[in-house]
Amino acid sequence: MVETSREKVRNKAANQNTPSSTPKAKGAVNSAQKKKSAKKIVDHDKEHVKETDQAVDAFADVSQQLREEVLTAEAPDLIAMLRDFKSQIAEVRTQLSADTERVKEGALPTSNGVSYLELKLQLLLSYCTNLSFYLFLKLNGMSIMNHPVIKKLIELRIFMEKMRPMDTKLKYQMDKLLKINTNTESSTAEQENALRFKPNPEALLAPGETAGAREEGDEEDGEEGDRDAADKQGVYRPPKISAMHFEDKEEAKKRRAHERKAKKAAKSEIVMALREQFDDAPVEMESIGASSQYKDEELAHRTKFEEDNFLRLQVSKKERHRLKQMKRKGASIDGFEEYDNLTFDNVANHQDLSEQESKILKKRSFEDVGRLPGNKKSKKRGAR
Amino acid sequence: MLDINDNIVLKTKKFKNNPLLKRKQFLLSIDRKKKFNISKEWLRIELSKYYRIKDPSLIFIFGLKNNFGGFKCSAFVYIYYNLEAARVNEPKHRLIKNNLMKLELQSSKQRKEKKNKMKKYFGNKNKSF
Repeated sequence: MVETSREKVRNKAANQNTPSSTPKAKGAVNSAQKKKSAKKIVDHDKEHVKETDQAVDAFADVSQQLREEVLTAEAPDLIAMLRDFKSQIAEVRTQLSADTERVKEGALPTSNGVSYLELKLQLLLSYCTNLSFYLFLKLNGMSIMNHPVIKKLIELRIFMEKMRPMDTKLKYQMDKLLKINTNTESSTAEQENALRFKPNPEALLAPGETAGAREEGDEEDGEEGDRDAADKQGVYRPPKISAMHFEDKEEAKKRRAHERKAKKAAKSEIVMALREQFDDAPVEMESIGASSQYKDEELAHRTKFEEDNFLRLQVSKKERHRLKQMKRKGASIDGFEEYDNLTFDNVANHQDLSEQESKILKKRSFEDVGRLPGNKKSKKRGAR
Repeated sequence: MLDINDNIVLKTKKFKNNPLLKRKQFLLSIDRKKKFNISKEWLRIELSKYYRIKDPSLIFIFGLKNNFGGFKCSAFVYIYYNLEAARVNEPKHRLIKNNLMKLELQSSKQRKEKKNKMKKYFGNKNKSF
């Protein structure tokens, strides 16, 4: 089929070529004359075949370049179509026919794949036939306007495009089956066949990675591969250069508690007094009555409301915290609390104290001085 | 145990007679001069002595709050003329604290069922549940 189409192509080129349009090439004069004669022939259909043979012989000298130029000038789609046609036919011949033969013999144990293969074969065949018919029409100069061939071609093309993702999915299976088939003569034991289906861990790797990339960062290549893969996904992974100390939950807790106590001690009155004494920085004085006016007003307003209406208003968390802090400030003037703070950091090693002991030490503050043994409140109602 | 020797100072402020609700109401400020809190029972007894009330359970003290800085606190006090007035005008939780009313609770499941039933109806007329 291909050969005949080639003949037709040559024929067409011959027919449409005029002596004026011929480009300069080897044996141009000769070819021009021959094309002239060829042109006359087209008009007479009966002598068509004989003259085509003559034309074929005549155009043996015609260079490839000439042919191509002519083709591109007259029918640019044609070359692409022919290529497509060739490839499709090749596929049909080599791959599918062999597979279907095997299936008919019963060698390939596919239950779901057969229909797919047959369908593909049928589609390709019909596509090829339609294509060839289309080419035939074009070469004979018949009109293709609103011809059903084109519709059919488009339909088939769509079907084939839809089949393509399935093809990729089944690719692995089909390759495996083909492998088995080719090697059935060499290996006979069933166990050996079963081993061919072992899992392939390398299939799990990302396209950029190698097998050694997942190991602990010894090699630079491995890290780079890992990093490249991560960069592709958009996640930043820092390079593992040196060994880092792993911090346990309890360790972290202790560290944080220690930091907190250090902070508190740094803010204590005694330390501030020392700083004032020895440091050259200017002393910060609290501006008395500057910002407290608003707060006092607010407090007065709140108390007035409460007394007038015989109800207690809720104190927000923030307010409560503020009041607590102010209370603490007031207490530290005497300096009792600061000694408590200092025991944690300097005198006694805080790590030696258990959690319970440290809690108890914390609770004891200036307020508890008032709690003498005789004054303890009893919880029962009406005990007094 | 507290004594008068402890020098607890009680002051009544904003005294008001409320005949509509049949009670006397005032603000009580306490200066206890030490860092522990005073019980309402003790306060009730002291006030009954001062105001010469026979039944101290008619005195309702609530809203005890320590002033900022400590050592002082303030409270609200209602003194009712009689029991009927107290039963009508006081909220139930205070009556219970003064032992004038007993709280009878059904099991929590029954309470919840009743509540859910009452959701469907508006008003007091369906109290028969």
